[in-house]
Amino acid sequence: MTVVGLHPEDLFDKLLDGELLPVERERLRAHLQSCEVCRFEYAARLDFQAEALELSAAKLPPSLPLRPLPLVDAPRASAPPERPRASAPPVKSRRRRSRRLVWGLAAAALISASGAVASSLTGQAPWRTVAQMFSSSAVPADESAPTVAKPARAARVVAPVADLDALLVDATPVVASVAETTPEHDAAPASQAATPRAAQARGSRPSASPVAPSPANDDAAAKEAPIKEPTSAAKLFGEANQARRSGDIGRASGLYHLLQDQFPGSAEADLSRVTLALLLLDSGDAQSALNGFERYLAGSARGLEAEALVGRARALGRLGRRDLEAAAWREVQRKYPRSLYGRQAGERLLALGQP
Amino acid sequence: MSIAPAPGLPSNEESARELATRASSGDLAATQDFLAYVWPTLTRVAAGVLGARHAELDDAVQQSMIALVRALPAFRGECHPAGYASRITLRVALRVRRNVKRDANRREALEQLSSGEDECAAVGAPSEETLGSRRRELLRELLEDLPEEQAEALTLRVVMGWSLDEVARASGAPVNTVRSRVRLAKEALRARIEAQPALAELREEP
Repeated sequence: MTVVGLHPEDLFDKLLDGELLPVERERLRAHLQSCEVCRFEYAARLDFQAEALELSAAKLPPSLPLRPLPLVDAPRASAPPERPRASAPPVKSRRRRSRRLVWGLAAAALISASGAVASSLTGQAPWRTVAQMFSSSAVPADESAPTVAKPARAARVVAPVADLDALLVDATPVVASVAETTPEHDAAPASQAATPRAAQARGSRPSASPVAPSPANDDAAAKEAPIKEPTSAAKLFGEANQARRSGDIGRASGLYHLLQDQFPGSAEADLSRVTLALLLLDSGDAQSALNGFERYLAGSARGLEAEALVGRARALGRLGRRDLEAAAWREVQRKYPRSLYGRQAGERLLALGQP
Repeated sequence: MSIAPAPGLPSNEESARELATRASSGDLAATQDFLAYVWPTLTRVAAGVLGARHAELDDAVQQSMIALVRALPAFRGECHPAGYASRITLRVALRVRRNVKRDANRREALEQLSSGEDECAAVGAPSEETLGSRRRELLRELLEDLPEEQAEALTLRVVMGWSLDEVARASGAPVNTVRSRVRLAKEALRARIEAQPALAELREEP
């Protein structure tokens, strides 16, 4: 049987969004076993993800847009390392090299592009350097400009199902907060910014978005909308995920809690426990995250056991409870020895001096 | 030098469009903020095409930023600004990759790759790291040969991990069109995998 045209792209998307139901997970796993192209793609995604993590440690800021790809136990691939922390030390040599390249390129561009002031380029971020090269005059578009769609389509409203900004801002694997990247907020250290976000995520009910929305902004309008009485667990789960993607952590957290209160036995409620715990972990509230992972593991659901075990280990690590963290990683290693998580556990145990 | 983006960057698509519009009018501060906003995305796209350790990566990112600023006047706000930037970066990075292939670095890289493969063959099955490297390289080679729209869709999807909706918004194309582009790209990928016996281990069922 050919699988042309039958690649489950939507399941890949749901996997990335943490919305894959157990039955869908099985479907995806079965497809991966039969389709070498999708298996290759899945593995390649993990490969590029691992490379991006390496890159982020070397040269990208903490706001690296990265949405980790969860596991479905199918292909062999490189293990993604632990997500980078905001406190990861900069790699000075890379920065020096980068600065040197900025200088070299700036000098070359000065020849071809007018308006640059060479003396003002010293020691600046690359985007600032490039911006200054164009500061004095309008520059004509060149052949690199992509062909744009017809102007008539500009007014079309695109449903904010999965906002790119959620990738650029909210899906950061560290404590970078909404406030850090919102124009209405001044700069704040990540450690300070983590606190209100964690408080938002802990809240039992959603709060209004701290971002002053534009009336034309669908995402903002969605944030301000009151929580409607749900008609099903699936709908509530979808609303919560939508809020999470659009960066409204408080609303997402409240909806996840509501889902767990109203549909405690549903598959969505089980999934939401891990999703919420991950949200809390990324928000800097490791203790609440740990509680969430342990509640999930104490239940009967096993669809996200691997993720919950890894989450628990990471939360213990954030809390500085090294012995318990090592024990948690050993459990990951014992239960999932051949998975990426098993490799991740091995690497972490090695780092802890307990291989 | 701090490389962290300045605070006050756009938090949603609407404000990103506004910032791009101001940047396109020659506002220096807006241009700086816009480049700071898209820089992580540009870097990931360029690294996806070239490799995170590629000698030309920094240059490619710089060239992409220059090309982006030059192209800003043509931006009509019909797609996400980060997607617009990604598409420009993809073109620049592919061009850099092709150029590199034509010079001596290509021969040197191929020699290194060849010797590395021999070593792997001598010691047995390739490591996961080697396989991952081969998968990335195969994808990069494929991107060079695909039609531009398909390369763009595949890059944003596999390298950036964006959903179909997000790719559609980035490229200003309907979702079904993007779905079709991804499907065609994957068929080309299938042919590429099948044509390389050396990649047999990549096709093993788990």
